[in-house]
Amino acid sequence: MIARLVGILLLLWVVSTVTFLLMFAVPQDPGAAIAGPQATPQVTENIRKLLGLDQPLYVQYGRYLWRLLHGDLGRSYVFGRPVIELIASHLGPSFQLALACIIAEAVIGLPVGILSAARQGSRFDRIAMMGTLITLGLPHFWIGLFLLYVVGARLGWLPIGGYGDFRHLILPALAVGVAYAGWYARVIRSTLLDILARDYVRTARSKGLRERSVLVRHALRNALIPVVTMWGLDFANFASGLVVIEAVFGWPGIGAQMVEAVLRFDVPLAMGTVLVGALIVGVVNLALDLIYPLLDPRLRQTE
Amino acid sequence: MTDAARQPFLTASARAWRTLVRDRFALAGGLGVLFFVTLAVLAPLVAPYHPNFQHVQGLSAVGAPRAPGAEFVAGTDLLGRDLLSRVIFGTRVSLAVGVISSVIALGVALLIGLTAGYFPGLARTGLLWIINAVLSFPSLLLMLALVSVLPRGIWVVVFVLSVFAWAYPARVVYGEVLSVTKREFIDAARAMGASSGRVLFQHVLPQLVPLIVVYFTLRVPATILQEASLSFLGLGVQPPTASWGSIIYEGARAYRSAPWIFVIPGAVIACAVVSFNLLGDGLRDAFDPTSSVRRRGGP
Repeated sequence: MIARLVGILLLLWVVSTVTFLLMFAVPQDPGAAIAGPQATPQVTENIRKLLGLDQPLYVQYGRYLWRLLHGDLGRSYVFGRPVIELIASHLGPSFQLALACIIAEAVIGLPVGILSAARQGSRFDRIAMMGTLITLGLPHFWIGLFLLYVVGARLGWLPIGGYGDFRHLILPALAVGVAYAGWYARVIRSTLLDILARDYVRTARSKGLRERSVLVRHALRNALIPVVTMWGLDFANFASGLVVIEAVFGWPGIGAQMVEAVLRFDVPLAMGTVLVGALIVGVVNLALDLIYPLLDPRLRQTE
Repeated sequence: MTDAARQPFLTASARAWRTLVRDRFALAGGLGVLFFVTLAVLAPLVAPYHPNFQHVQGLSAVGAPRAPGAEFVAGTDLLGRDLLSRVIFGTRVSLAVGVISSVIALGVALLIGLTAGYFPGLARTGLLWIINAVLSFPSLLLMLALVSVLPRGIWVVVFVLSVFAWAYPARVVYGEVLSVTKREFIDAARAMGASSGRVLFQHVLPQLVPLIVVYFTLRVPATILQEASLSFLGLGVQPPTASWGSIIYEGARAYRSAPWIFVIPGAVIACAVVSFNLLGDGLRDAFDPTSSVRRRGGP
């Protein structure tokens, strides 16, 4: 447990060092970026001094880490506000969308995979597996555009993007859900098939249990463990930036903010987002490690 | 009993080949891959027009792009360029980016996986630590961060797409090297006085070929999708160069009035990705006879 915490701290340190070096490697001068194109060289020079850019690299690095420890990620070049504030204001929508997306993935993928496993080799199974092959081959943003076009623009059933109530969440979540549900369907199908061949399932069947209760009470419970892993990892990845989908739907999450920062060369904001993303991924991984023993008694003994 | 058991005189690769050509899905995938590679190579001969030429008749009187029709089979884009030609030339860029960055990623993965697997001690500990660190990076965000400080262009895309992609295959290679070096023929080679280099390249490396081939075939479509994402954000391949992703990026602005601009390249991406994935899955089954059992009943 402590080793895991140290691991996360180490990871954050590595990522912050990488972002520091990247910021340092930018060909563009931050002083000039903040001062703007019309500033005199004197103004630019003053800003450089103010930011400590005239100091040697190791001093800057030390200061950078010291500020990070105090939650100071610097100031955005473009907005002039603290990076941490800008990111915090976009975290809510990001978590909202991430949650909606993992629900959509599971709601679409799991029933398909379970039915496929229950009727292995049937026509449904073959069509479903072919379907996952195709949806996994489509870019997720393409599915998003397609939904926007058909459901939003043509049918006019749902808003065509932006942030707001539940109805704004449906299309982006559906896009991600359709794009990645294939993984869920495949994983639950193969795990179930694996489990259905085990001895304890044969025992359950020979006791005369109905196939439905064998499937649901005995097999499905165990098959859900790998799904929880996928869920957690997806949630971490999505919350730390569903970059492309947020851009398609104009959803104000940290992913869309990241793209804007990159397009406008707002380096502190971009690097800050990377760090926050790493933190989210690390914390969710830690949470997953804590959840596993609750789900799988076999893991409790090894601890 | 399987065919392989009845024909013990077949070499492993011959047996793999037999399994592969009997697998309908893998065969379809292979043909698809062949099609796209041919298309990329012969792009100037196949494409009806130059991909960047702006046709006067390619836009309507009010400047709207043409829908698919007799003159422009796939329609035109927002600048009156022939969409079919752009998609065909885009095949070159998208495939090249996918293949080159997969080659780089797997090259690095081989180097690091072999070193970590074959030389115990500090090298192994250090390399494994680096592999695990890279695996736990928020790679998409770091890729974007890299793009933010680098000039935009195709080579930057190739670099960014390979810079984190080596870590996972490196770990797989490492595991495989560990298991191969425990086998007896390695001990035999060492006992006969073979040097480390000779053992690695003559005896260990050939054992890794199936793994590398399969991973490469599955890595290319993943990279194609990533390149499409980057280009779609306007951070990848830059205009006027066409890649499948950049065409969708340009078409996204007019997704309501000219949906064919984004629909067609997206469908082409799906065809390419599915082809590579089918071939990759087929290759995996062909090299590993035990895994094909699981695949009955579905592709």
